[in-house]
Amino acid sequence: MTGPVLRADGVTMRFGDVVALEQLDLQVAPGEFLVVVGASGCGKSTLLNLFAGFEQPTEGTVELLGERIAGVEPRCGMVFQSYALFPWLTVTDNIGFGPSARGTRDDKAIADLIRLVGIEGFEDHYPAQLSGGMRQRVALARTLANDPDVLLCDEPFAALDAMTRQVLQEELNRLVETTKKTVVFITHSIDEALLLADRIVVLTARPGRVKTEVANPLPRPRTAKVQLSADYLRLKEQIWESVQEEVLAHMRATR
Amino acid sequence: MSRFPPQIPRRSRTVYGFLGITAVLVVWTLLTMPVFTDTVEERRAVTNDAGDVVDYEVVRTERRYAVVNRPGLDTPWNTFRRANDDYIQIFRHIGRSTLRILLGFLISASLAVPLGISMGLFPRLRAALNPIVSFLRPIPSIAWVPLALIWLGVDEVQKLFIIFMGSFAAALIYTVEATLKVDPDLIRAAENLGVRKRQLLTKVLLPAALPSILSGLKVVMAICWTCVISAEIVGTSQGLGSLIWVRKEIADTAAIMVGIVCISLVVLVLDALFTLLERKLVPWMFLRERGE
Repeated sequence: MTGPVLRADGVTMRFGDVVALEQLDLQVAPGEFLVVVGASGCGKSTLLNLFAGFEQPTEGTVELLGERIAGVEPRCGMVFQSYALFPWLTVTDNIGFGPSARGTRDDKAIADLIRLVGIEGFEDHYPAQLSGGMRQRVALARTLANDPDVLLCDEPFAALDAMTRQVLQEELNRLVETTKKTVVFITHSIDEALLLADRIVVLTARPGRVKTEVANPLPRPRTAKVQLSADYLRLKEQIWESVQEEVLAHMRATR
Repeated sequence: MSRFPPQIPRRSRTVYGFLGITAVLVVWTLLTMPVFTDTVEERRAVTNDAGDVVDYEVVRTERRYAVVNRPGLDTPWNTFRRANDDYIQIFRHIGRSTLRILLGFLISASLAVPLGISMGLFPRLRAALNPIVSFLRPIPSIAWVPLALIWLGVDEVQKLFIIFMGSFAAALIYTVEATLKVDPDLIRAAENLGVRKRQLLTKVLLPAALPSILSGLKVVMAICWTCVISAEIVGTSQGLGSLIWVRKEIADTAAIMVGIVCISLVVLVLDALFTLLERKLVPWMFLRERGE
């Protein structure tokens, strides 16, 4: 595959009078880990919903592998901030949900995924019996079970405590390095972006547009230790300046 | 207060519970205590010179004690004895009322659940039916008794009609609410995982809405009990409702009390059975109680 996996072309998204995104252009390369950072209300989630096919753009086109995304797109697997696990299904059945629905369930593949995300021993638990961190692992495995081309992550770790979050960030890195998935990840945490991303895109305050793009050359495999390097701090400062302007703009606009 | 709401240990709760029940029985007993009454006076006529009676004077006063039972209430003991003597009859009444309720409830629920889910899914249907539901909901079941008699006579269909009219709107509203309350992220997640639209209903929507639908139906079943008492006002000699309405005519307060207590006990038992059913159907809702 030579062209981009995902492509947003002149995308404008309006909800009534609110313009969430305006003339946004974005491309995601195969195997790339793209992190989108922005002030709250900048339309980050809207962008992800367009890639997943939950919404259709008011103007412009969104494409997956050169085909226009016209409906919900199972090849773009979504990981939700709220986990969105099915409470009536056990861990195993949650992970097997997608394959079952498509008639391709394979118990060995599910067992492999359970090992991959580190939830062995909890196969027969229900989501209500799991901690937030464990739930998000299950959600990740559930999305991976469908073998999507792209992993869309909508602030998946935002509801977790700082320590669990760090562990999961490192595990996501490892996971993406082994599965070679293309990832679009949304967050408002610059630290999270620097730890995960190959490339970071800063969106402007509403209406959302690409403001800055920063390549993240920090060496892989990355762990939390990378946060101590001088390069890390320099990048963080650079991104923060860019984001700060938008946060202030957003505060002025909503005052 | 360091802990809110304040709590006491389980054993104390049981003790205080019994104290409460005992207090009611004590008050009940006091209210039915014989009252000692009546002062009897012996009088003699006082006449004037012409022989006309002008006054009576009290010659002797005597206090007599008569046992006067308040007509409105029989003693707890008599009530218990009545229940004990007539228990076969009472079980028959309970059986008949329960049968009516279960039938009425099943009719009500089996129509309200599919319709309610449809209303949750189709906003036009919801908009069209909402005014009708709002109109029906405040009408108490007893208001349907006259029409039910005129239209349907005095047989079982008339009883079921009253139960249905009294419970259907509530069942419908609970189901609609349960459907609307389903987390939209679950629907999105399922679609994202490749579930087709027509599979969504059985694979996601039903299991997601089921816990709230069931807890709504539990309330509806209690509503059905209030309906059956209305339904049994006339046209039957069987059922707990009929028992208390018929005994009213001869002021048989013991029998009426037995009927009332039975209504309450049967509702408690059915409620417990319904909870068992919930544990079977939606076991994942009872996990936390097990203590993770």
